Amino acid sequence: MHEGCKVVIIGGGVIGAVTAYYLNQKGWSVTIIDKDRFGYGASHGNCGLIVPDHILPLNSTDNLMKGIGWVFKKDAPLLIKPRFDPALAKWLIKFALNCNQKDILISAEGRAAIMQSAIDLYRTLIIEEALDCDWEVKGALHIFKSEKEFKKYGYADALKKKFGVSATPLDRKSLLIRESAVGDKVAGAWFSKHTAHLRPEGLMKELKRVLIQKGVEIVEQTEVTGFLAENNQAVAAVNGREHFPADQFVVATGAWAPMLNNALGCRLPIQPGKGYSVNMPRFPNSPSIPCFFQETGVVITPWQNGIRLGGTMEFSGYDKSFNQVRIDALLHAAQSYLCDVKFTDIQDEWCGWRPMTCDGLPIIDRAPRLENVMIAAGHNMLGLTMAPGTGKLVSEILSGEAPHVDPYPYRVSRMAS
Amino acid sequence: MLIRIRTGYQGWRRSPPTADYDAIGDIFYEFIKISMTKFKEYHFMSEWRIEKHPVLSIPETGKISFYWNGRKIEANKGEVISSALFANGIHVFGHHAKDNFAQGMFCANGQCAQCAVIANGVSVKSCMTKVEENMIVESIEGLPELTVPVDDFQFLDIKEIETDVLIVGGGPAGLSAALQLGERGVKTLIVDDKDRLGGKLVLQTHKFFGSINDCYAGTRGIDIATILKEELLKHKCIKVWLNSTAMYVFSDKKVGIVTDGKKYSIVKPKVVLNAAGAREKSLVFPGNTLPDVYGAGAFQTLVNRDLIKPAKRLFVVGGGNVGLIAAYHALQAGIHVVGLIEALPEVGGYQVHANKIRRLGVPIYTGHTILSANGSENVESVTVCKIDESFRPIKGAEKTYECDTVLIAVGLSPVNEFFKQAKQARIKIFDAGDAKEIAEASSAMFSGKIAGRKIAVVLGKESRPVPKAWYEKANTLKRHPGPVTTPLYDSYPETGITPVIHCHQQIPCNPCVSVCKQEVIYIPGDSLLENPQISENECIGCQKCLFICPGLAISLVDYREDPKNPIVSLPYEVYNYKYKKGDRIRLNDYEGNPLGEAVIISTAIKKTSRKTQVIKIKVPDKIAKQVAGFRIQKDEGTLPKDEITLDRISDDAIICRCERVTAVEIRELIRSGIRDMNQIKAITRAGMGACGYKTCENLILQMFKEEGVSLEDVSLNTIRPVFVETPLGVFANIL
Repeated sequence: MHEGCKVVIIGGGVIGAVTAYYLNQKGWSVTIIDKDRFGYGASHGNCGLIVPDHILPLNSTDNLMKGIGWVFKKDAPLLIKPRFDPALAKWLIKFALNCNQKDILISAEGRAAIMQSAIDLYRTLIIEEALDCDWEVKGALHIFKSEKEFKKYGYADALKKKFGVSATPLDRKSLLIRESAVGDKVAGAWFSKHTAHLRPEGLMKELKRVLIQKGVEIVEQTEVTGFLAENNQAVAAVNGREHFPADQFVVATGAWAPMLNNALGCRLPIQPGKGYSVNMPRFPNSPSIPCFFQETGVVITPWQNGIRLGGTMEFSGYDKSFNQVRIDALLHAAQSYLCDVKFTDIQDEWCGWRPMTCDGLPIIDRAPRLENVMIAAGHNMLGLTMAPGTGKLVSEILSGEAPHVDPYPYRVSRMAS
Repeated sequence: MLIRIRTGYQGWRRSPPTADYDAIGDIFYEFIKISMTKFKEYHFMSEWRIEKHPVLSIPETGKISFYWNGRKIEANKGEVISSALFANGIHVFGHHAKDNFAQGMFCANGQCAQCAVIANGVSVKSCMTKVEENMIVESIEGLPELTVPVDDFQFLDIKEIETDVLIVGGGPAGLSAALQLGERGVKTLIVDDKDRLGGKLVLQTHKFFGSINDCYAGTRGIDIATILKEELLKHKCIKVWLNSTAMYVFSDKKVGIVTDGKKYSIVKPKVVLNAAGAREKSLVFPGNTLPDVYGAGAFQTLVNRDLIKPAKRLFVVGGGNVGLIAAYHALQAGIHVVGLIEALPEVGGYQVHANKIRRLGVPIYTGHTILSANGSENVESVTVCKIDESFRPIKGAEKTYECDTVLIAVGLSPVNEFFKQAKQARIKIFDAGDAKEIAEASSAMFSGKIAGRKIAVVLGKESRPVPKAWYEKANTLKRHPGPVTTPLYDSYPETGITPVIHCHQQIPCNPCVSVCKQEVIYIPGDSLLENPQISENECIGCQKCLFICPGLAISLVDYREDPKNPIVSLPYEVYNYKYKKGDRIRLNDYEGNPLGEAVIISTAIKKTSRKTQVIKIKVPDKIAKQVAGFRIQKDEGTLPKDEITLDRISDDAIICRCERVTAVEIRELIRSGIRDMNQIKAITRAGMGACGYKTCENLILQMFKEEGVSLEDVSLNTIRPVFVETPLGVFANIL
């Protein structure tokens, strides 16, 4: 065990929290530092889906062609704000280069490995610690409006089958019987049983409670700006006023990870991809299980006491402005799939940055210049799903145990080649 | 001293950096880097030759040029035509007269005629004929034209030679037998159809199993060949004829031998020893005659003798020792091994062999069979399928992998036609090695030794009979591997320095025990078969066990410096995938399961290590004893594609590759009640081709079995002279 060994986790999102949980279990003394409030980044406003079947990265020739078409549309699922940003340009070039079958397969293998036991790990975590977060395993529907796209999904599903996460197709008729909330303009849907959902803000609140109870120190409103280093070893994390000394450090700052580029000694190819979500109370005839509206990239998650609608991808750098056009597009897209719904009673709107990497794989590796700093960031749109796998892997690497998945696909250096 | 590292996000710069101007330079730099490497690949590097090998040295030979279908191409001096063509990326040597199907290399051993080409107007086997300056080589398209008869010729006398013993085959068995005879001054002649002694030993770059005293265990096959050859030269009574093929045994107890393809001589021996080895079995599946589907032995010839890189992406069928070693040799040659399949639920070869390649990153799929090799002129992909308990493919479990070469390593069959023929001619004949019984080369050496001693007794040069202990040893050496046990790491000490043994299967092997002067490693009861264990003696870290273990299955864990983070030494010998200090490697346990990453703290090759490198890493104590190796093959999109399914597999697999007779044709004949192989030959021409029944005999017999016919009811094919096709003029010794 690691009694007396100290670890500082920078970033209090779901990745940081779950990593802290596993490290605490192995006897580490853990401190979490967040620049804002614990659990208030992308871990707060996401749609709460655990989707281990989403093994295919966004990289695909199909998405690339669609993306180019969407660039000029203000309310399309993807928005790239035209401005001079070489880092984004480089990211997009790399993204495009990764759109080939070989690289997609490599990404898929890596993604599948880290997500394989996500549902089981969550289940254990939630039951053991009695987390109250509306946890349900009901599966999800991937709904299509166009017949062509519906059929095309079969190819993706054939690949998923090899990883044991395939879905079953439902034609229009059986879909309408199964899910009465769906409007009759749809062509069909694929039902995936490998999906669970929960209240993300509820999960974070509960995790905070559990962590504090277990003796994890949580420091909020403190932004780490660098490290004090000695012979390739970080000695302390610094934020200008304070020093946080520790034996090991974990950088789990999600979309903000590139801010520490200079301190880490590498240029992390992570771009913030802004997503929006809106909360509303349950309406009559609301869907019974989460539904993906495939053509528009919008998803709806129903909980017992509310509904969240989320989606869209906006590459506009670290721009905090709230784009009402995007919210309207979100609502409009959902309406077109559902049966007679008017979203009038919107409770709150939210936007946040997803840490997007150009190959769809997270970065879980030691920093090149600082041997005792682990990077665990860049989880794309799957932070919640990958969190238990990542947390477990990081805790195993730091404790010097045999890792449960091969960490090789998530290395930093893959981006350099 | 504390250094403050520059941070990217400081107080005065509240807004995050949006534009990273360095990225422009990066894009430019990467573009230049990619184009430079591509340029180098196209213009400076020979794609198809091995330029660096961890074990073999690359000899400097002169270059010559010759013509292939009118195009001038380069070859190394002294290499055979087939290798010269492979070195130029040419794999199709012609097209068959019957159905215009592409023909290429198959046995690389002079046994078949698949690789035939026309060299200076004469049809020759390209794997046996050396390329000459300005030679005009053409592919065979359809039937070649007959050579014009020459009126002006001269007969030469045919030499008749008498000898006490004639040994056919200069491999491990033949050479070991010859040594026994040489010691006793028996007049012996060894004939071998290759240009150097050692047989298949010269193709083995890995270290051998067995025991040091009996069969040079821990020494590489290629070095054993040299040792045996040097021993042999000490005996004046032994004569060696290279490039010589024994053609036939005639009823007057004489053996016809052709040297260099043209000189004919007749040998009259008192005793004959058949040590001709084995030939590879083939397999029936659609696409089995594509030019890039060949045996593992042929592959080893190309890679380890001729230093050719015949493939870029290799797929191996068969998980016996031959297939496993071929995959290992491919890695040493810098070839990517896409995968290896084995029909049985466990690999048939030694577990340490299988684990060695698993650790390096080769996926092994057990319980799989090959469905088809796909492509029109060359192999483009291979389709394999999971099988059920009765070995039938399971529908829906088909997988297609991209590859450019498929190796067939599904077992060997003894070369015994010579033995049968000598029996008929009533010559005293013995056999040894694979020609007697298929086993490891270590066992072949021992059976050669026994046969040599027996012959000496028969000839009256030795009075004592073969010791009983020899037979026992021979039986031990050819023992099949035992069951696999689970490793127990708790028995090792956690202080000082200790070897950790990752060999968990009973195999006849003990060099680690023999080299350990401290007696740290021992085998209870001194048996050759039991698993080695660790005693309480103190290890001094001499690393000798690391260098000698043929399975590279020993690591040294050194707790002396830092008990929390001990130093682990790993043996490594595929260092054309080069690693140096500071590189990060992906650690594996003994079976190839990932254990995370580590940074190399030192690499070294000692003079005593015999080309095995030692790589040292520092790992946490929890996993230190489990670390057994590291992965070198890059992750690729190894996931299968959906291309060919069971329904779309046609039944046009070829049984007789010389005459291109399909499985369907022969199956129909068997179902119609034919039980005589001569009849099948008369109807379909199967077995009438140049190879003389060598490949298809087994396959046709297999087919009888599949159709439920007992082999006792089948009349075998009549063997006719000669064993290897020879121009008629040779027998008249026409110059």
